[in-house]
Amino acid sequence: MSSEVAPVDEVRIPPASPRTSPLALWTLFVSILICTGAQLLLKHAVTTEATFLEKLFSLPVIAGLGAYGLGTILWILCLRWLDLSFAFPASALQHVLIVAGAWAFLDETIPWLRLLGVALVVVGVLVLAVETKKGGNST
Amino acid sequence: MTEIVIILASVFTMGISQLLLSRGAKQGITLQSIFFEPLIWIALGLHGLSALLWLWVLQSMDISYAYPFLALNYLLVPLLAAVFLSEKIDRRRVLGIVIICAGVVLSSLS
Repeated sequence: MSSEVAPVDEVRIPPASPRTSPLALWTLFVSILICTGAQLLLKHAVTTEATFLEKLFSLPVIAGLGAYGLGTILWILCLRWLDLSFAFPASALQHVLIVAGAWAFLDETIPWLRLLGVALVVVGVLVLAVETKKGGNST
Repeated sequence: MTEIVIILASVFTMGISQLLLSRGAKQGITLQSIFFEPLIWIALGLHGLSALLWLWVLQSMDISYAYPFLALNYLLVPLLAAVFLSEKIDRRRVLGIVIICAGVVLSSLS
């Protein structure tokens, strides 16, 4: 918008990637994927017969929390580049992947109504993503 | 009932943590300096607290039942972002958010 030269200390800040940046969007997707894996791992781990403390220090829980940590680091990078009000709703994709994962790996049965809801989430995320492609209102 | 209260506490803690994370992530000169940002560490603490509450709830609930309560967060977080981060939320984004929430709530009815 403005052709003014930015102050020096602003120039030194690595320019936030444009919202259309494939890097930002891929980072977001990988972060979501890793957090989904972490959730499934945690759920699998806590359904065993053990006290809460025993579960907390079991290997799958620690692995799950570790994956959570990795996903969180990627998530922080996303938040540097993307609007929170875009990135967070987009992370609802995690809900879709969780249901798919619960069906595939945890043998939970998925009622058709839930499938419908999950399909709606996909539509909603697509609406957000299309906005991103058009440029939307970047801050 | 107790589980619902714990879930809600987890949701609100998560909402505040996302707000602080986002604010912290956009500060700092270099990428590495993000991780020395106090806001980030406060946010991560809240994130951890939220995760612990969540873990507690998952003991007695199916993940595919507990998850829909996170629908509240998809409303809360953009609202917090609009108010405290001055993000502009256009109609298309509102539409996307509403559809996502509807989807998450719908899947909770089954």
